Amino acid sequence: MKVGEEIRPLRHTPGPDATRRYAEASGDHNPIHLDPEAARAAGLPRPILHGLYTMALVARCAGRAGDGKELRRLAVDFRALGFPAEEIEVSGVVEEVSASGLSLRLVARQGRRRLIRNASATLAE
Amino acid sequence: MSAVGEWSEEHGVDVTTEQIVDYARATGEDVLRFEQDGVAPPMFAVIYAAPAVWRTVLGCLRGEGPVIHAAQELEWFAPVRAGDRIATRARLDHEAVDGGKRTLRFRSVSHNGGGELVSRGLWTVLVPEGGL
Repeated sequence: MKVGEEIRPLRHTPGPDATRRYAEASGDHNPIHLDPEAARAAGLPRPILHGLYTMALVARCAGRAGDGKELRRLAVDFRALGFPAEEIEVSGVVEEVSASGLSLRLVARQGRRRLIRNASATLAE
Repeated sequence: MSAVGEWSEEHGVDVTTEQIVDYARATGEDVLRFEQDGVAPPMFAVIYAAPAVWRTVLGCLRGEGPVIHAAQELEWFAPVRAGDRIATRARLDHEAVDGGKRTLRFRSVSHNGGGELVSRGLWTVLVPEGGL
Protein backbone atom coordinates (compact mmCIF):
# COMPACT_ATOMS: atom_id res chain seq x y z
CA MET A 1 0.00 0.00 0.00
CA LYS A 2 1.08 3.59 -0.56
CA VAL A 3 0.88 6.68 1.60
CA GLY A 4 -2.44 8.41 0.98
CA GLU A 5 -4.12 5.27 -0.37
CA GLU A 6 -7.60 4.59 0.93
CA ILE A 7 -8.16 1.24 2.59
CA ARG A 8 -11.24 -0.88 1.90
CA PRO A 9 -14.06 0.62 3.98
CA LEU A 10 -16.08 -1.51 6.37
CA ARG A 11 -19.85 -1.09 6.45
CA HIS A 12 -21.79 -2.74 9.23
CA THR A 13 -25.30 -2.27 10.58
CA PRO A 14 -25.57 -3.28 14.24
CA GLY A 15 -28.74 -5.30 14.72
CA PRO A 16 -31.48 -4.11 17.07
CA ASP A 17 -30.12 -6.56 19.66
CA ALA A 18 -26.46 -5.56 19.15
CA THR A 19 -26.11 -3.91 22.54
CA ARG A 20 -27.60 -6.91 24.37
CA ARG A 21 -25.28 -9.30 22.55
CA TYR A 22 -22.27 -7.11 23.19
CA ALA A 23 -23.21 -6.73 26.86
CA GLU A 24 -23.46 -10.50 27.26
CA ALA A 25 -20.10 -11.08 25.53
CA SER A 26 -18.23 -8.25 27.22
CA GLY A 27 -19.86 -8.16 30.66
CA ASP A 28 -20.63 -4.43 30.28
CA HIS A 29 -24.26 -4.30 31.35
CA ASN A 30 -24.48 -0.53 31.84
CA PRO A 31 -28.26 0.10 31.47
CA ILE A 32 -27.77 3.11 29.17
CA HIS A 33 -26.90 0.52 26.51
CA LEU A 34 -29.83 -1.79 27.24
CA ASP A 35 -32.80 -0.11 28.89
CA PRO A 36 -34.75 2.67 27.10
CA GLU A 37 -35.90 4.16 30.42
CA ALA A 38 -32.39 4.21 31.85
CA ALA A 39 -31.15 5.82 28.65
CA ARG A 40 -33.85 8.53 28.83
CA ALA A 41 -33.06 9.11 32.51
CA ALA A 42 -29.47 9.79 31.46
CA GLY A 43 -30.64 12.32 28.87
CA LEU A 44 -30.27 10.02 25.87
CA PRO A 45 -32.99 9.48 23.24
CA ARG A 46 -32.59 5.69 23.39
CA PRO A 47 -30.01 3.04 24.26
CA ILE A 48 -26.61 3.73 22.74
CA LEU A 49 -23.93 1.43 21.36
CA HIS A 50 -20.96 0.62 23.55
CA GLY A 51 -18.00 2.76 22.48
CA LEU A 52 -15.77 -0.31 22.54
CA TYR A 53 -18.16 -2.03 20.13
CA THR A 54 -17.57 0.75 17.61
CA MET A 55 -13.84 0.56 18.31
CA ALA A 56 -14.00 -3.16 17.49
CA LEU A 57 -15.35 -2.28 14.04
CA VAL A 58 -12.46 0.15 13.54
CA ALA A 59 -10.04 -2.59 14.63
CA ARG A 60 -11.57 -5.02 12.13
CA CYS A 61 -11.34 -2.51 9.29
CA ALA A 62 -7.72 -1.68 10.16
CA GLY A 63 -6.73 -5.31 10.67
CA ARG A 64 -7.85 -6.49 7.27
CA ALA A 65 -5.72 -3.80 5.58
CA GLY A 66 -2.57 -5.41 6.92
CA ASP A 67 -1.95 -8.00 4.19
CA GLY A 68 -0.45 -10.45 6.70
CA LYS A 69 0.62 -7.82 9.20
CA GLU A 70 -1.08 -7.77 12.59
CA LEU A 71 -2.80 -4.90 14.34
CA ARG A 72 -0.33 -3.82 17.03
CA ARG A 73 -1.78 -0.54 18.26
CA LEU A 74 -5.08 1.31 17.99
CA ALA A 75 -5.98 4.64 19.58
CA VAL A 76 -9.41 6.26 19.27
CA ASP A 77 -11.36 9.24 20.59
CA PHE A 78 -15.06 8.61 21.11
CA ARG A 79 -16.79 11.71 19.69
CA ALA A 80 -20.50 11.00 19.20
CA LEU A 81 -23.09 8.51 20.33
CA GLY A 82 -23.83 5.51 18.15
CA PHE A 83 -27.18 3.74 17.92
CA PRO A 84 -28.30 0.23 16.93
CA ALA A 85 -30.00 -0.42 13.60
CA GLU A 86 -28.17 2.35 11.71
CA GLU A 87 -25.27 1.62 9.35
CA ILE A 88 -21.76 2.46 10.50
CA GLU A 89 -19.05 3.08 7.94
CA VAL A 90 -15.38 2.85 8.87
CA SER A 91 -12.93 4.33 6.39
CA GLY A 92 -9.25 5.11 6.48
CA VAL A 93 -6.09 6.11 4.65
CA VAL A 94 -2.48 4.98 4.84
CA GLU A 95 -0.39 7.55 6.68
CA GLU A 96 3.00 5.89 6.73
CA VAL A 97 4.66 2.84 5.21
CA SER A 98 7.90 1.36 6.48
CA ALA A 99 9.84 -1.88 6.22
CA SER A 100 8.24 -3.10 9.42
CA GLY A 101 4.64 -2.11 8.80
CA LEU A 102 2.19 0.69 8.18
CA SER A 103 0.19 3.34 9.98
CA LEU A 104 -3.42 4.20 9.23
CA ARG A 105 -5.76 7.08 10.09
CA LEU A 106 -9.42 6.04 10.38
CA VAL A 107 -12.86 7.44 11.07
CA ALA A 108 -16.16 5.74 11.95
CA ARG A 109 -19.35 7.48 10.81
CA GLN A 110 -23.00 6.78 11.40
CA GLY A 111 -24.98 9.00 9.06
CA ARG A 112 -23.58 12.49 9.58
CA ARG A 113 -22.18 11.75 13.02
CA ARG A 114 -18.51 10.89 13.43
CA LEU A 115 -18.56 8.34 16.22
CA ILE A 116 -14.79 7.99 16.17
CA ARG A 117 -12.43 10.36 14.44
CA ASN A 118 -8.67 10.55 14.13
CA ALA A 119 -8.28 6.91 15.05
CA SER A 120 -4.69 5.85 14.58
CA ALA A 121 -3.64 2.27 13.91
CA THR A 122 -0.28 0.57 13.55
CA LEU A 123 0.16 -2.77 11.80
CA ALA A 124 3.37 -4.78 11.88
CA GLU A 125 4.75 -8.33 11.68
CA MET B 1 -9.70 6.65 46.43
CA SER B 2 -6.93 5.13 44.31
CA ALA B 3 -3.73 7.16 44.21
CA VAL B 4 -2.08 8.11 40.94
CA GLY B 5 0.46 5.45 40.00
CA GLU B 6 -0.73 2.83 42.48
CA TRP B 7 -1.23 -0.54 40.76
CA SER B 8 -4.38 -2.54 41.49
CA GLU B 9 -4.47 -6.13 42.56
CA GLU B 10 -4.12 -8.60 39.69
CA HIS B 11 -7.38 -9.70 38.07
CA GLY B 12 -7.21 -13.05 36.28
CA VAL B 13 -9.41 -14.26 33.43
CA ASP B 14 -9.36 -17.82 32.08
CA VAL B 15 -9.92 -17.50 28.35
CA THR B 16 -12.24 -20.03 26.71
CA THR B 17 -13.12 -20.72 23.10
CA GLU B 18 -16.74 -19.96 23.96
CA GLN B 19 -15.79 -16.47 25.22
CA ILE B 20 -13.77 -15.77 22.10
CA VAL B 21 -16.54 -16.95 19.80
CA ASP B 22 -19.24 -15.03 21.71
CA TYR B 23 -17.13 -11.88 21.50
CA ALA B 24 -16.38 -12.40 17.81
CA ARG B 25 -20.06 -13.01 17.06
CA ALA B 26 -21.16 -9.92 19.02
CA THR B 27 -18.78 -7.70 17.08
CA GLY B 28 -19.53 -9.11 13.64
CA GLU B 29 -16.22 -10.95 13.18
CA ASP B 30 -15.70 -14.09 11.11
CA VAL B 31 -16.63 -16.54 13.87
CA LEU B 32 -15.42 -19.67 12.05
CA ARG B 33 -11.86 -18.35 11.97
CA PHE B 34 -11.78 -17.92 15.75
CA GLU B 35 -13.42 -21.29 16.37
CA GLN B 36 -10.75 -22.98 14.28
CA ASP B 37 -7.54 -21.40 15.53
CA GLY B 38 -8.59 -20.40 19.06
CA VAL B 39 -6.73 -17.08 18.85
CA ALA B 40 -8.69 -14.11 20.16
CA PRO B 41 -9.28 -11.00 18.03
CA PRO B 42 -7.24 -8.00 19.24
CA MET B 43 -10.19 -6.17 20.78
CA PHE B 44 -10.88 -9.20 22.97
CA ALA B 45 -8.41 -7.35 25.22
CA VAL B 46 -11.40 -5.48 26.64
CA ILE B 47 -12.78 -8.78 27.96
CA TYR B 48 -9.76 -9.66 30.08
CA ALA B 49 -8.52 -6.15 30.90
CA ALA B 50 -11.73 -4.22 31.57
CA PRO B 51 -12.62 -5.81 34.94
CA ALA B 52 -9.38 -4.61 36.54
CA VAL B 53 -9.74 -1.19 34.92
CA TRP B 54 -13.39 -0.56 35.82
CA ARG B 55 -12.78 -1.66 39.39
CA THR B 56 -10.00 0.92 39.56
CA VAL B 57 -12.28 3.53 37.96
CA LEU B 58 -14.92 2.89 40.63
CA GLY B 59 -12.26 3.37 43.29
CA CYS B 60 -11.62 6.87 41.92
CA LEU B 61 -15.23 8.10 41.90
CA ARG B 62 -16.67 10.27 44.65
CA GLY B 63 -20.28 9.28 44.28
CA GLU B 64 -20.69 10.89 40.85
CA GLY B 65 -23.09 9.47 38.26
CA PRO B 66 -22.21 7.72 35.03
CA VAL B 67 -18.82 8.36 33.50
CA ILE B 68 -18.17 8.90 29.79
CA HIS B 69 -15.62 6.72 28.04
CA ALA B 70 -13.78 9.42 26.09
CA ALA B 71 -10.76 7.70 24.58
CA GLN B 72 -9.06 4.34 24.34
CA GLU B 73 -5.66 3.13 23.27
CA LEU B 74 -4.60 -0.50 23.09
CA GLU B 75 -1.31 -2.15 22.13
CA TRP B 76 -0.94 -5.85 21.41
CA PHE B 77 2.05 -8.14 21.83
CA ALA B 78 1.84 -11.94 22.35
CA PRO B 79 -1.39 -13.50 20.99
CA VAL B 80 -4.14 -14.60 23.39
CA ARG B 81 -5.49 -18.12 22.96
CA ALA B 82 -8.23 -20.23 24.47
CA GLY B 83 -6.78 -21.90 27.56
CA ASP B 84 -4.63 -18.90 28.52
CA ARG B 85 -4.99 -17.28 31.91
CA ILE B 86 -4.56 -13.53 31.48
CA ALA B 87 -3.74 -11.41 34.50
CA THR B 88 -4.29 -7.65 34.40
CA ARG B 89 -3.28 -4.84 36.71
CA ALA B 90 -4.56 -1.29 36.35
CA ARG B 91 -3.70 2.07 37.81
CA LEU B 92 -4.82 5.67 37.73
CA ASP B 93 -2.23 7.32 35.53
CA HIS B 94 -3.38 10.93 35.32
CA GLU B 95 -6.12 13.17 36.70
CA ALA B 96 -7.13 16.64 35.44
CA VAL B 97 -10.00 18.99 36.25
CA ASP B 98 -11.40 21.38 33.65
CA GLY B 99 -14.53 23.33 34.52
CA GLY B 100 -17.06 20.88 35.90
CA LYS B 101 -15.40 17.82 34.39
CA ARG B 102 -12.77 15.55 35.81
CA THR B 103 -10.71 13.59 33.30
CA LEU B 104 -9.18 10.37 34.55
CA ARG B 105 -6.73 8.27 32.56
CA PHE B 106 -6.02 4.69 33.54
CA ARG B 107 -3.29 2.33 32.41
CA SER B 108 -3.67 -1.44 32.16
CA VAL B 109 -1.04 -4.11 31.64
CA SER B 110 -1.91 -7.73 30.89
CA HIS B 111 0.33 -10.82 30.91
CA ASN B 112 -0.30 -14.46 30.10
CA GLY B 113 0.50 -17.39 32.37
CA GLY B 114 4.01 -17.60 30.95
CA GLY B 115 4.70 -14.02 31.98
CA GLU B 116 4.59 -12.68 28.42
CA LEU B 117 3.15 -9.21 27.86
CA VAL B 118 -0.03 -9.56 25.81
CA SER B 119 -1.48 -6.04 25.86
CA ARG B 120 -1.29 -2.57 27.33
CA GLY B 121 -4.10 -0.05 27.47
CA LEU B 122 -4.85 3.60 28.18
CA TRP B 123 -8.44 4.21 29.19
CA THR B 124 -9.69 7.81 29.45
CA VAL B 125 -12.99 8.66 31.14
CA LEU B 126 -14.77 11.95 31.81
CA VAL B 127 -16.64 12.41 35.07
CA PRO B 128 -19.29 15.09 34.43
CA GLU B 129 -20.62 17.04 37.39
CA GLY B 130 -24.31 16.77 36.47
CA GLY B 131 -24.55 13.37 34.77
CA LEU B 132 -24.58 12.77 31.02
